[in-house]
Amino acid sequence: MLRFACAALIMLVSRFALGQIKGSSPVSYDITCSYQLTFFPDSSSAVSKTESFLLFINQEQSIFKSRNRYLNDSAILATERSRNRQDLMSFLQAHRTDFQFNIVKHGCNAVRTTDQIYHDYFSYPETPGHLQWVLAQDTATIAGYRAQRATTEFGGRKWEAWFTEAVPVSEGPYKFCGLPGLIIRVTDSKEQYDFVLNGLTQSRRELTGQVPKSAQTEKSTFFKKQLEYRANPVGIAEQSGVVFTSGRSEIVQRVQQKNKSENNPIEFFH
Amino acid sequence: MKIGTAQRIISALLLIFQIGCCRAYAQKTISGKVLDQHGTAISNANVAIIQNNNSISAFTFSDPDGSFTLKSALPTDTLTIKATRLGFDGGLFRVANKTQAVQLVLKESALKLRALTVKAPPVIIRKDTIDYQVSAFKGEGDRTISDVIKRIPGIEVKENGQILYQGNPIGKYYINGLDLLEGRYNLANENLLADAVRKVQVMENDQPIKILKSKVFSEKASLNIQLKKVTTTGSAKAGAGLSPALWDVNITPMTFNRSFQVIASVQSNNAGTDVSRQLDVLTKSAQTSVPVPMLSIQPLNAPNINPNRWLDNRSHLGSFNLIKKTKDQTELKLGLGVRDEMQQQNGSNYTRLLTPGGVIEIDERIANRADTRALNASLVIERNTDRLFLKNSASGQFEQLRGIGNLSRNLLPTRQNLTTEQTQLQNSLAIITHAGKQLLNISSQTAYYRRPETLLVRPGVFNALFNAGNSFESISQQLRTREIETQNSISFTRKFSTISLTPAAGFNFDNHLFQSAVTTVASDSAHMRGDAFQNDLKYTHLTPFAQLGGYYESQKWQVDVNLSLRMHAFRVSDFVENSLQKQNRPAFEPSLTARYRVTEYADFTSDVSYSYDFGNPSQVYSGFILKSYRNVQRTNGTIPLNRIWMGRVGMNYKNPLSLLFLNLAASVLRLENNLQYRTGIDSTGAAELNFVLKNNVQLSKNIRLGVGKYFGEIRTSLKLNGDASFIRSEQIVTEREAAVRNRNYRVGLSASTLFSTYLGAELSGNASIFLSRIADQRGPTSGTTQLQLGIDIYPTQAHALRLDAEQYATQGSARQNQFYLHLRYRYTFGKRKIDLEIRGTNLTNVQHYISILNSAFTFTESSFRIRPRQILVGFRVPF
Repeated sequence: MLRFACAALIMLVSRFALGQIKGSSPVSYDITCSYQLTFFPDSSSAVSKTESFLLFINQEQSIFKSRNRYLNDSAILATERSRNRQDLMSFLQAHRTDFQFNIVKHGCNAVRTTDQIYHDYFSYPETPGHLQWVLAQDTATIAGYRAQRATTEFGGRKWEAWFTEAVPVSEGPYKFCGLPGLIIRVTDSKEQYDFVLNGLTQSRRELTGQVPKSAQTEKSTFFKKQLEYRANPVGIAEQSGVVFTSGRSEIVQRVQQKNKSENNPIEFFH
Repeated sequence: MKIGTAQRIISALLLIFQIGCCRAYAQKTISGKVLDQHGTAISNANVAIIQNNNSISAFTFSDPDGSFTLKSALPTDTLTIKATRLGFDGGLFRVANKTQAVQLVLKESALKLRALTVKAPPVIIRKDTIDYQVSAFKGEGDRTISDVIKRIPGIEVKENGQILYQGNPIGKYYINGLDLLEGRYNLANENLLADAVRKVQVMENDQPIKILKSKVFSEKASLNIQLKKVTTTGSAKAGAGLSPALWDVNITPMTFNRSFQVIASVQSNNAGTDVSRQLDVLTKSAQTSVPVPMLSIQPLNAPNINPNRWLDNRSHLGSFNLIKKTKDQTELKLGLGVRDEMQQQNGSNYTRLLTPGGVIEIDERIANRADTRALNASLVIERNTDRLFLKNSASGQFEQLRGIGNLSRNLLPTRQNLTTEQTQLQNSLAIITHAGKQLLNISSQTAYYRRPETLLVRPGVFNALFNAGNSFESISQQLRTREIETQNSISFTRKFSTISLTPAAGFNFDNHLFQSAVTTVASDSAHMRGDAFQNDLKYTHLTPFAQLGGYYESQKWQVDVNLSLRMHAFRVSDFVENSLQKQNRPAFEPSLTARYRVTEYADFTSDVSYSYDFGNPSQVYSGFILKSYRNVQRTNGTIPLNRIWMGRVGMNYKNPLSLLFLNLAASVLRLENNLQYRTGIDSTGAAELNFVLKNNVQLSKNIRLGVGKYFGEIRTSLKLNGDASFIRSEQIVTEREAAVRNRNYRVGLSASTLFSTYLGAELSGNASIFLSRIADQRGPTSGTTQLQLGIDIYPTQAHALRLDAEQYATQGSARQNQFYLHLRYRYTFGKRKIDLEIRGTNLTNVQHYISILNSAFTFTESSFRIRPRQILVGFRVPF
């Protein structure tokens, strides 16, 4: 009974939707950057978490996602039509992520985020010019690159970024971009989210099916829907046809506990 | 000209004034296009104005038609504009600082970016799994994975190769998740190349049986060696040296596939490398214990230093191990090992015994030689799935030992000849499966041992006992031990929400046959000695039992309770005395284990248990046995009864961020024995051991602390461990009862650093103190200290120099201080990274290692001849 409840919970909170990614034409990228994020999911707790992210860049566009999400997408694609679902499930469970989104940038004025609410994918654009950078004159060497500081406000937080001209792409982690060089570190003023570049390789890499099919929506609608889901995930799961034969109250309790401890998202939207 | 200069100075002053004050300089607009060499517009190029200090003051991006507009507020005459775009060389353009239109032409190129390689953090913790990145801990001179494991914080490697995690031995040693070697992991650990390994994983509380996962708690941690890729690897090593002529050969190829692994090894040396350790089982298994050999040649105390320094050997070893995993999760394991070895010991023992009749001194010069031939084979079939666990392992060992001991005691020569042959066959079967809602667990083990032993001592000893006080030519002790032992049990585990209950029942049976006789030769005629010197015994021990286990698990707690009721039925038939002894004894043995997780990083554990021990059959022989040339023993034929209370608390802390590992444990052990031993020592120092019926208590307390810390920036790991133990026992001293108190303190510190690519250093120090007290009298005190320093120097990539210095000192009733020096030079060449090694050992040419052993009533000073100064040249080829 408990095992079932756990499995159901995993399905519920990690929200893996299999088979969502259909084969699309491959895109090749020239630069792969990896970032390490240190963050505090619970603002009342001193326990931090870390997660790795990948940023793939070519002349025209970039895609940013968590490393585990990337591994999961690749694994799902590789096992499509394969019988070995058991192995896939255990692979997915071993590579859980707290961040399900894909962020695709076609230049900094066309940033589109695809994210998941329960089993459904939605995508929304950022308002062009969502980042107004103020350049500062201080420089420092970070991760071996000479970097310059810049600040901006975004998503209810003040951010400080360090970028380097040595990598002439106007790119960065998350939705950050638009500086005259790659952002190698970006931290919010409360130091609750801190992305640091920890790897960069320049080699051609072909990626297929990294962005799932999604319903297009507005950012405000997405955040509203996400809020609704967080308030009552079990209800929404039941609406979509999931039946909890037992252990429902336990799951509700656990989900509420999890929500309570995840009160500090990277971005607030009002 | 002069005016111009003045103008410039004024304008410069103005400039300073303007920057410092209000920046009220008119804005200029610079617009233009970014084009490539063919005149095609470049979109999305980054156009920036660079200041003198190389920072950017303004920037923009070009539109799809290549056009851009930049506003400059800089008060300079000229501006530096930089245009960059992925796929083009960055262009620097100097233009006048005025509103104007410019064309920026960029040259196409494949821009080479400075790559940044991901440095995985040295340690990652995920739930109960800890990943250690080998690259973070590997030193320049490290060749095998054991060299790296030694440096890892939280892990300790003992002299025999056993690996401890947080102070406790590991339960399994996996390679890519497969347990190929079943506990004989030295073979892999000491031969697998560190370069082939990506990470070393420690799985805490690893339950290796899948069907029991999250149902049955495991205290054991397992180690997994994760390789970089599926590969064939290994190494070949060959060396020769002087003097005398030395050789050292080791060829160990290995193959690791997803479902198939092989490790084979051929080794031969006379250079002091102990090969037998590569066949030792280092994990504790539930296998039945082998009765220990009874007869021995008077040994020398083996030095408490690396065997390479003192082992005088000629050893050959072959080993072949294979594991094959089929698609349906069935594993087949085959292990074969053969060893042929000759070892010699030379030295002297000086022993002082305190006896009621005064102090007896024994001075022995000893030259021993032992020839051992051993063969072992094992076959394991294992199926480990979520629905079924089935494991059958069958193994056989055969060992033949021939020993010759030449001893001269106070100039009187004595010759000892020992022959032992041991045959051992074992089979164990375990089945765990679901039966309805419960887990059914069946286990059955059967073992057979056979061991004849013969000890011949010439001239005869214990004249008073064996030959009415007259000297005689020789004495020969013959022994024959045979034993069949079986352990069988069946249990059911049923889970009720957070609690699982396991009732079990079964029986153990031990049938032990023992025969011994003494023959003496006096004036060329042999005599079989009488009944007092003979044993012919059949000892059977049947134990039916029932037990109930309970296990509770929550997020913070893991509690395991075991209540067992055993009925011990003994039957001892003595065919010499024609007597039959029967005894039935119930034993209730409860135990409790609990673990409390305070945080993700810290937990507390505790065990409490009460149990019985009925000794082993060798404690019920009533005829005299000549165990060694100056030790004869008999017991009074009573079955010993020991009651054991045990309590332990422990704390573990590990922090992967600060890389701090800490463990602390304290334990109390109380033993209640019904037998007490009494040693009678005659004027020549020959000991006669008797057991008498007398209740007595032994109490021991132990505290242990281990701390490991890794300093990432300076690549240094520091390990500190210490323990203190207190033992109080009741003994009979000079016909009176007295309490003997022994105290032992030990502290060890080791540090290893790789702080630069040119230099590495390892330092370890060890100090121990032994104190004893008999009744109210202070007994002997002794202390030893060991200091070892190893320095690695890498002047260039290909050359490596290693210097080892060791110092051993003993304080107390005797003092000594010894210093050893060893040097190794290694030259690595070729694409295959072949090592040429020149090794000089014992450069100070120390002749003897002196060890001092103190106990309440004895003092022994052993002088052991160690290997002299030697030079060995060798090659090592990895493949």
